[in-house]
Amino acid sequence: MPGAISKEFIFNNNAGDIYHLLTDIIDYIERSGSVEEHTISKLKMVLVELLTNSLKHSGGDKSIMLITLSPDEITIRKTDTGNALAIKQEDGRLQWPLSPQQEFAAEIEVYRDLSCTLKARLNGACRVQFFIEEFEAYQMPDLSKLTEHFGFMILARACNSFEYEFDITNGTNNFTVALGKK
Amino acid sequence: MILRSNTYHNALIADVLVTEANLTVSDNFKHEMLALIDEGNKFIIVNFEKVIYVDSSFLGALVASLKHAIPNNADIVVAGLNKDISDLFQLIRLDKAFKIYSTPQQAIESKKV
Repeated sequence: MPGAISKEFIFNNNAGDIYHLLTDIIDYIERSGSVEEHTISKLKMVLVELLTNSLKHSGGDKSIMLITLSPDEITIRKTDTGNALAIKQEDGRLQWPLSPQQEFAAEIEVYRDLSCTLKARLNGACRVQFFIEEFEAYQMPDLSKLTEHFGFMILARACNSFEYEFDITNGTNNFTVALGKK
Repeated sequence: MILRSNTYHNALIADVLVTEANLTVSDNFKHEMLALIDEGNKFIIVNFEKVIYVDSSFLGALVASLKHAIPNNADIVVAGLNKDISDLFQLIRLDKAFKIYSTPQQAIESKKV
């Protein structure tokens, strides 16, 4: 990526380290150039969720956070060696690699909230892109039906792009998110 | 213990005592909230003024508490959110599910009107 700089941060999958690492990464991003305040706020949400995801699902002792800063965009790639992402479907979980019938262009519903649906676009044998499909008319929610699962919803709403790739050659999970600086 | 609660008029103010409201405390938070609801409290103000950040697990526990409160005719509101947490509530539309107040006192005043 022309004009981009990168730095790796290590997360030891310890909850007590979340805030310090969050502060270190935000400090690195802020020192590297001008970033709007609302982007910093979203970055904090995104980092907390990526690190929380590692705490919940990573089977290894560390996760690697690769921060790449281009002139207009911030990309965060988290790599861990935990269990492969499990996306539940009516007929069971998606298995990696996806079958040739599933691989391309299929869109599936991951979960539904009262204002939107979180969807995944299957893109190759081991890659999915998550996105939000808003309902046209948002009405006062039936609170008893609120979802209690917000992790991926936060990532999909806060970022310009959010994808997951399972690297079948080394068994790593790779989550990549991108946010505009402005 | 995640919460310290004090009754003030007809409200129960539940101060979140942790600064990092994440998955390491979310289960305990949920259990403590459900207990407060089961004790018959009808207006619970969850005060986040000591909290630096919340994660999705903690928010899930807060929503689970709200869903437990509804059939018990109890109301849960939140107060003392910093800007980052307030932005997060807006991002995932939780500002439509919870009334948000600057301070617990403001929440109490709103009940008096």
